[in-house]
Amino acid sequence: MRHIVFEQLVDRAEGRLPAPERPRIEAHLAECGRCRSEASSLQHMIELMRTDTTEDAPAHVVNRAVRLFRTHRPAPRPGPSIRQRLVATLRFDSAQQPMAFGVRAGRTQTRELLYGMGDNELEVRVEPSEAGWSVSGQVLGSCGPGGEVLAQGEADRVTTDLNEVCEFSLPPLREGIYTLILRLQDVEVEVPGLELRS
Amino acid sequence: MAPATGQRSDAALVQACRKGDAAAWEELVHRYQRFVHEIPRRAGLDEQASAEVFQDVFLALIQSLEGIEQPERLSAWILTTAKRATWRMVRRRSAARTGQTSIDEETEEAPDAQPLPEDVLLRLEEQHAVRTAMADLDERCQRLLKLLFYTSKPPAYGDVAAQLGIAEGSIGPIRARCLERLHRRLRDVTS
Repeated sequence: MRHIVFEQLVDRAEGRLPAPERPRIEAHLAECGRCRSEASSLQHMIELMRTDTTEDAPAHVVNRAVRLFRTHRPAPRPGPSIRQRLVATLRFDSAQQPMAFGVRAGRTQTRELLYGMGDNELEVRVEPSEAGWSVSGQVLGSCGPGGEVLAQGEADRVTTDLNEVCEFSLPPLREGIYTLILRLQDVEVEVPGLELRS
Repeated sequence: MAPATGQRSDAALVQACRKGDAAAWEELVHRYQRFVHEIPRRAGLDEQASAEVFQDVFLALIQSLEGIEQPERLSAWILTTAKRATWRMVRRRSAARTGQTSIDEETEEAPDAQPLPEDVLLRLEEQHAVRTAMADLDERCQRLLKLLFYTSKPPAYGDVAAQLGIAEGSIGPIRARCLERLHRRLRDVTS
């Protein structure tokens, strides 16, 4: 079977195919999966280009990011050292925010918290689920490889690893008050008094 | 992304950055600047907030370079980080406005848990992949494809020929060859 020449697929995608050629091309596409796939993929690529309204970031914004390398150049992995210990400080708790007018109480059950921990921040999301309380979050900044999170309370004690983008999601927890302990490469952070209650 | 003529792959750039190669960092920033800038813009953030998100993302990247275990999937890492940085900025702006605005504005500006739908993010990622693949083509192809396709109203072939200094009759075949190269390159890096 002779397949459709790529230039004809382009003409078809752009509506430039000469009228006498259209029936033959369409008949072939109806029977040939390979050409149909090629035509569809090409059409999608052209559509992505035609609808691309993205813009370059301002030059000064780009340059500022480029200059980061001078002041934040990656350091070699540190050798064994004494691990620093910190207590995280609460900076934002959605449960403490006044409701916006017109928003009924109970509209959202997800509680969002933001903690400061040295140079980094920790965001935590708490929401009820059928299996218990779901606690997840992310270290905002560098967490290094091999980090883990421990949730310790009267009812439960569970651990989980941080993934490559410093996110974690703990197994469901029972109601109670918990302490989260983040064990990172060179620092251990304690997040006290995380209350999981309705 | 896979290696190409003249362009280092994302993985190669990450490795070079880890060794202190400032030029590799600059290339990474330029490769992703449009993508990272667009995400907060599409979420409705103003230029100042978008610039803060931009800086946060690249700061997070430079701090996480050693820990990225799959540098060939850097675009996914950047997408996740930009999405979360945008979400945080949206929440901060919303929290800062609470109690300071009129009642009507609070109703209208209640924070959204998902400032950017996943299909919008997917499209942005695909458009980034097309632009990155196009940067691998020769300059004539890049100019031609930008003139013909990065517009909702394609110009006449005569105008394009005049801008590129080539015969009008050759636009069609050259266009097809350039598209075919782009299509093949895109398929290689996304497979």
